[in-house]
Amino acid sequence: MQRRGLRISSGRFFLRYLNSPDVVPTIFVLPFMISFVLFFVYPLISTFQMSFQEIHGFSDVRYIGFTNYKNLLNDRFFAAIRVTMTYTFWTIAILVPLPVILAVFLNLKRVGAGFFKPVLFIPQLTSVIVAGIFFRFAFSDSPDALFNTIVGFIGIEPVRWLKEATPTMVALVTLCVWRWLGVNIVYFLSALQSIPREMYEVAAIDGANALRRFLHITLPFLKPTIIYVTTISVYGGFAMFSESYALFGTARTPGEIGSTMVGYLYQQAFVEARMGFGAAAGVVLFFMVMIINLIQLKVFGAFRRGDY
Amino acid sequence: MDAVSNNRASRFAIIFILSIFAVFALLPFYFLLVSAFKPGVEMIRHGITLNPHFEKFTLNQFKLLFDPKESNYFYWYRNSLLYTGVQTVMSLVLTSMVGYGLGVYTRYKYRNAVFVMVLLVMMIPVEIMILPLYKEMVYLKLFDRIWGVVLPFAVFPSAVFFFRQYSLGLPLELMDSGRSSSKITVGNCMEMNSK
Repeated sequence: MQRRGLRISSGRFFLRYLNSPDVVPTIFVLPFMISFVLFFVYPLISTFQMSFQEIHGFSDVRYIGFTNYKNLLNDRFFAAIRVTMTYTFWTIAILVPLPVILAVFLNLKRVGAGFFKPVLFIPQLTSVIVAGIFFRFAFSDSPDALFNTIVGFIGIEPVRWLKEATPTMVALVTLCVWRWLGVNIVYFLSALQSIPREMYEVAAIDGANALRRFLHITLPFLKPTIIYVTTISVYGGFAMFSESYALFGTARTPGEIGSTMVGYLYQQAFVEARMGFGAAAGVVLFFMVMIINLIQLKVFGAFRRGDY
Repeated sequence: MDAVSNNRASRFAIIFILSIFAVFALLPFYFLLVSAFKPGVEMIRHGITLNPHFEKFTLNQFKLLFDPKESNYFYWYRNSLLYTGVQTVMSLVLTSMVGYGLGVYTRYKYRNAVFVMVLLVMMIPVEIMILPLYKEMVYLKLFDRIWGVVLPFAVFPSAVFFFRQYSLGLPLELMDSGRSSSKITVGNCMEMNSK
């Protein structure tokens, strides 16, 4: 790689320049760097700045110190944090183990993987708004609505789904599992297919049963994918808003049972036009996501060199 | 693992479990289709029901949807196509380029630094920055234009991540042979990524 610049000589300065060891990769990553500065670093810094301001339109801006942050200490914001955390917890608790198991099933011979794989992936191709409309009406209070009929089969009384906290969480997590199950299965399947078959054969000869082979061969091979899926699930959980918005049709939900942190940000910033206050909510969200991601990467040991 | 699939009973059990999830995945599509033919009042009053109530079917919604006085369906459709097309082409070109740069140039000085930035973008919900992003779009005069929607998300990190992962596995000898036939590196990238 280092000698690349020397290969093409004959005085073609432009080509030589283009092929020097650090210039070329820089050109390749340039689109990302531009996008990173314009659409990530700048808006992020700007969010921090705005969180200390009171903003009434573009010209009427006043610095108010930590007032926005003090005002964040209210019940509605705490409720939103609780909903967001619970939602993130349950989506990860379901959307990591379940797709691992289903991917292992789909990786077997003669189980119709060619049919099940695309079918399970289809939900991802719809918009969350369309799916949300289905789930809003399927989770209707009416006793003959779809999910009330289903719980009726196992002898549960009709549930007031989107009016109480726990059923609302069930609805939100169901919607999330429906949309993302297939995607996570695809991640895990591609990891499974990179495991050399001989390892299973050798293990089988040594007398390891299916469970032991799963625990000692499959799981270690899946570890990087599990880390990746957990990371994007933390992101997805904390960024969740559209699911709740689609289910309830508003950013503000009755009794805050379905309000998320991003929903609160949206509600404050765009509906009530408190831009600075919304920005402060964003900054708090930023630190929470960063802390959780760092802890998680630390625990998984993803910072070790050569792991990625 | 094959021992499991050879056993008929467990094979059928597995197919049964997969079928349950397949039904779960497909049901909403069936019900959306059925609901499209039902009067809206019905949906609001009873929600989506297991019984399709065929006797209440109507085509009114479709008439309304394609009625130029009531809706602009074809214009919306054109918009969706346009945005999807532009976004897809731009993302493919740019993210493959970045991913390739990060994957192949193992001695690049800022390789890890740039990759950490990619991961950082992946971890932070964009919603946090939505307010300044909005102002920025207004300032850059991109507001209310297709570029205001497409540009901020053109180089999205997960695609970079995957292209990088894929580039790591590229045989570097292929590159060298490309280089000795004096193709410049950009040509190399195009060729390798198209494989």
